[in-house]
Parts: sequence; structure tokens; C-alpha cells
Amino acid sequence: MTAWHMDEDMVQRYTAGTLAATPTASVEAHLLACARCRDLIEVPRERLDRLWDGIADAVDVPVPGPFERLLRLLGVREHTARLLGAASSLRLSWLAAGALALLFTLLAARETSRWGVLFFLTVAPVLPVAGVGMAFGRGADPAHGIGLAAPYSAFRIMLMRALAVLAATAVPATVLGLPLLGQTWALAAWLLPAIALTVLSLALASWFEPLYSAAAVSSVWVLVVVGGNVREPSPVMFGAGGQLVFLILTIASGALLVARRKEFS
Amino acid sequence: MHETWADARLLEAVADGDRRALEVLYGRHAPWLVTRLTRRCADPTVVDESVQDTFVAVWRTARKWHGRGEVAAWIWGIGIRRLLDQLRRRPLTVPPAYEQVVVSAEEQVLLGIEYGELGPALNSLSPELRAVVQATVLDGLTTREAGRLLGIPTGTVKTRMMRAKALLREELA
Amino acid sequence: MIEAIDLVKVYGRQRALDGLSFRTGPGVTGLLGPNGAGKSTLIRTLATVLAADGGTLSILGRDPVADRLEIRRRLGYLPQEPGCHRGFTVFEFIDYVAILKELVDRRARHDEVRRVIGEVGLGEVSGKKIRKLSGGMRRRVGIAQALLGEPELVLLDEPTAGLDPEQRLRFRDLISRIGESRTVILSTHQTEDVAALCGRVVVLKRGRVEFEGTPEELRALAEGRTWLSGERAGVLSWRTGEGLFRNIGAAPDGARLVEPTIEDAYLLLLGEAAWEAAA
Repeated sequence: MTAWHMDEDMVQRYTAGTLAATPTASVEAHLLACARCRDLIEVPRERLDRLWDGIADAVDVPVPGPFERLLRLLGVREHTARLLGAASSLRLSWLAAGALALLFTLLAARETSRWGVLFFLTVAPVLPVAGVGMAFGRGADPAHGIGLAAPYSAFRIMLMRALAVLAATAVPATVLGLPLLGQTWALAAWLLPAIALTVLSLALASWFEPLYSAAAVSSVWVLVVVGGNVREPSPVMFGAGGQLVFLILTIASGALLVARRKEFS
Repeated sequence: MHETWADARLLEAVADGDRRALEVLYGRHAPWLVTRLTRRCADPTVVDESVQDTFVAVWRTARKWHGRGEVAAWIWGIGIRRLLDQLRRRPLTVPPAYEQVVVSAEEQVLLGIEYGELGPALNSLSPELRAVVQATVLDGLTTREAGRLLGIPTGTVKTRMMRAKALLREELA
Repeated sequence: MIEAIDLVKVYGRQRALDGLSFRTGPGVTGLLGPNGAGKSTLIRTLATVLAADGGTLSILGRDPVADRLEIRRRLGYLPQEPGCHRGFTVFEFIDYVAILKELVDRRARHDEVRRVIGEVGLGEVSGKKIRKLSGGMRRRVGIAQALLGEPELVLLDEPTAGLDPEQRLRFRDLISRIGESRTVILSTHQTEDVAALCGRVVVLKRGRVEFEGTPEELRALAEGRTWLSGERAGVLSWRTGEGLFRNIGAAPDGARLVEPTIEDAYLLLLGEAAWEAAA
């Protein structure tokens, strides 16, 4: 704390901009440490208020997360991006965890022989199902109870989020899978099962909590794959015949979902 | 209630999301910030934007102030850099705050108080040298930032700083 | 405004709403009743979250089955569990709900969010994370979102539950103010809320309306049927602070009658229903 303070003349000239450079240097250093002299500096009220309004605006507004910003870059409208980004499973932590899980399975797929690829083909479809289970419904949606009485179609939000989750899994799977996985057919073979299981979970969510239907679908899937391959591990169920089954499952689940869509509002 | 709090406590509250605390800080620091920035750039629109950007930055980075030194100094650090951002494409002539040749005895004393021995010796430097010293010492800018403010290349800033330091060492010796 | 005739809602074997009829209009209406009386179910039916299984219902002059979207655009709803706020700030959460209410234009939406935040007095903490706020303030966040879009009908499901007396007091002020220009329906099992706030009260018991009228009319039901005595008398009797017993029911001759409160009348209503079931 320095031993001097600004006198009225100094204040007046400094504020008006007519104070010479050298004393200005001293004044400015002094002001950094002296609240009393700071209070003497005046700027027109109107200007201060106007500036504050701009600050208040910017300060209130929520800062969009990285996923939201990505969506906006892709041309998604601001309010839709906010709705999507608010889901639990579309937050960065989740997406990172999903990508990590994929990486792990892909690495495992390279090590061992037939079980390796199967491992990837089993786990990869489960990720979007889990994501969908955590994308809406009680516990995952920030305004679940309120949203049930809101005009915005809950069904539409659900579909959009499911699509976002699928995309968020498909992209790292392809990007990581291409360099890591030898057989590129596996990269395509997991997609249809993933879609089928996801649509099935959504359809079941018209009866049960999304979390439970996702858990049920995932468990049954893992059991089926493991059970069908425990004696002789082979990816045959993902072959052409298998893909057809998945396609039928997708269409059937889709029809069921559309038929039950009223249940979501 | 907030009005009686010290700056440090207000800043802590701002880090916690307290809008009222930001408003009080604004009331205390906006006037001098506006005035000081105006001495670096005469355009009021540029100053307005810089001040707004500054307090939004205060809101968002309040946690980063680690209790070292004065809050006012921290705010100035943000403010001058926001001004530089605004001036990026508009290089300036030497800001009026840095120009002067004749210094009274009284002014020398004040310089001495604020800047110690360095103060009066500053006086003997030419305007260009004084400008770089003041930009770095007074405003706390890096050599690159000083270059941007004064509209001169970083290399020139460095050479002038070296010359100024040499001259000042002579003066003080 | 709201007209319900013989509403029925069935869950498995349970009839949550069992032929419920009432009507109400602008001002604050209280739904009073014990747990399981059907208050929440009724509120959720009025909010168009549930569809009744039987009876007729008209909300804001519209049919909730055919005109659901239009009703939703004109109502505000605070459920018992508004949702998990996670890391949202007050502003972010209300902004999110505003999108759900189809306020699409960003500028206008933010102005509206600020308006409701101001209306409930949370302007200073709009940047704070909800999980860091007290229970009373969190409730106010809930009320704020229910006011988005200036709804004609505001439904509050147990808004004062879990609040301490001081918080409840401030809350009542707020709700009274809101009720001045809108229809507000709130459910509660606190008779003091009803006494302080409501222009109309509906008492529910086991999915039916036991009483519908003003708080004063409710209170009058216990007139002449509330008395003090030195020992327990009648079915509804409890010890008061002064060592006497307060009783409700058919008063014996020469009993020391006292002025009844709304709570007395409420207990009387519930008690009688219980007696009827036993008989």
C-alpha cells in the first residue's frame, strides 16, 4: 500500500484523458493496489449499465459441450443439439468410454483367432444398446417427469438420441476398426445386429424402463452368442444367413415400435 | 451483503456461480478498467467489447486466480489481452499513455514511489524505448504482446528492451 | 376451466381414481388427502401424463385425448420428482425445459428463462449448479420451469413436501402471487397450506371426492363436533399440550366445545370414511 492517494484534480484529468503520461504511469500502478482511489474513477452510468447487460447475457447462457458443438458443426439446429447433448450417454465421458471399450475389443480381436473376432462382434452391438438405455427415461434424462407433460414429442427425442448413439458408436468402430482389424467384413457384420438390438430395446421401452429393456436385450444377446458358440466358436451366425435374421428382427421391432409409439408420450 | 466482501471473497463466489458477486466486482472494477483501456485505444467500441469480454472471462475462469496478488492486477491482465485480441487487425500508433518528454519534480517522486529506483530513470529514455518498457513493465505484457500493442515487430521490441535496460543500468549506477 | 366427471383410473386391481368428480377455475385450489388417495394420479391425469380409463374430463375447455398438445402448450407442471439435474446450472436446466416447451428461438427463449427466474427470485443464483442449492431453492427452480410460456394452468404435485417452515412460508407467498392470474392446482397433505393459500379445497379419499368447497366451508364441518375433555372420548382423540384431549366426532351433551380448525374437519372427514368402511 503506497503512502499517497489521488487528489481531485488528478482524478478529473485522468478520467478525461488529459493527465500527462508520466503521472499516468504512477496512477495506473497505484490503482491496482488502492480500492479507495479506484472508487473515485467515474464512467457514465448509462455506458456501464449497457455493458453489464451484454455481460449478463453472455454469462447466463450455457456453454455447449463438445458433443453439442460437433452436432452444430454438422448442421443440427441449436435447440435440437441441446436436447441431444443433455442425455447421459451422449456426454463426453460416455463417448470416450464407449470408444475405449471398442478399442479394447478390437485389440483383443487381433490377438486370438476365432474367439477374438467373435468377441468384437458380441460386444460392439451391446454398446449402442447400453447407450440407448442411458439416453432417456428416469435417471438419465434431466427433466424426465416434466418432459412427460411437455409439448415436444418424447418419441421424437428418443429416436433422435438413439440415432445419435448409433452414430457415436459406428464412427469410432469404423475409424478404429479399419487399421486394427484384418477382416473388414467384420466391420460391416456388427452393424445390422447393433441396429436390430437397438430397435428392439426401443420397442421394449414402451413397456419397461429403457434401462431395464436395454439390460435385458444385452444379456439375452450375450447368452445367445456365447451359448451358440461355446462348443465350436465360429462367426457363422454373422454370415449372410445371420444377417438376414437380423434384418427381419429390425423390421419386426421397428413395426412394433411404431405401433406402440403412443406409449411414449 | 455482497458489497462488504473483499475482492478475493467475491471472486471465490464467482467461481461458485454467484452472479451477484460478479455484478459487485464489475461495479468496483469496470470504471477504472474502461478508463485505463481508453488510454491504450481511443475507440470506445473496441474498449466496450474488451471490457465485456474481460468480465465474461472473469466469470468463466474465476477458479484460475490462485490468490496471488491483487484481484485488480489479475483483471488488468485479462483486460489488456482482450484489448489486444480486438486490436489484432488494427495496429496502433504509440498510445498516448506512453508519450511524454518533460517531467516535473513532483511527478518524479510519484514515479519513484510506484516503480522504485526505476521510476525516475525511465524519464531519461526516448519515447520509443520508454514505450516498450512501459508496455512490458507497466502493463505486464510479453514482448510479443507489446509488439502487437505498439505495432512493431517482436524483434524490435527485444532490441529496444535491451537498449533500455543498458541505459537504465548506466543511470542507476 | 377444469371439469371432471366420474373419472376412473385403474392400476391392476387398484382403482386409483374411483368415480371422481369436481370442477374448479382461476385461483389456487388445494387437493388434500392422505397417501394413496389419488392426488398424484389426479394431477398427472390433469397434466395429460396419464389418460383416464373412464369418465369425462375437460381441461381448459378441451378434451385431453383429442387436444392433448394444445393443453400441454398451456400448462406448467411440477411433478414430485422433477428429474435428476446432474451438473446443470439453474439457467441451463430451465433453458432445457424451455426447449421441451417448444420455445425454439434462442434469443426469445433466453429472455423467457430470465423472466421466470426473476419471477421466483432466483436471479442471483442463475449460474449456480442446482445440486449446490438448498431444498427450498431447488423447489423454486421447479416452480420457475412450470411458469415458462405463461401457462393458464399450473399443476404442482406436493410442492411443499420436505420444506422447513420458513421455506414453506416463502413458498406460499410465491404460489399466492402466481394464483392471482392463473389456475393453480396443488396437492398436499398439510392442512396449513390449504388454510393459508387456497381459495378452494378438494378433499380426496381412496380415489373419490369427499368434500369440495372453500376452506371455511370445510372448517365448518367440524363446527359443534370438536371438544376438549380430561380423558379420551370417541374415536378421534389426541392429547394436547395442556394435558387435555382434543376430540372430534359426535359430541356428548355438556361437552366443552371449541373452535375447530381445518385440520379437525379434515380428520373428521377421513375418520368418518374409515368408520363407514368398518361398518
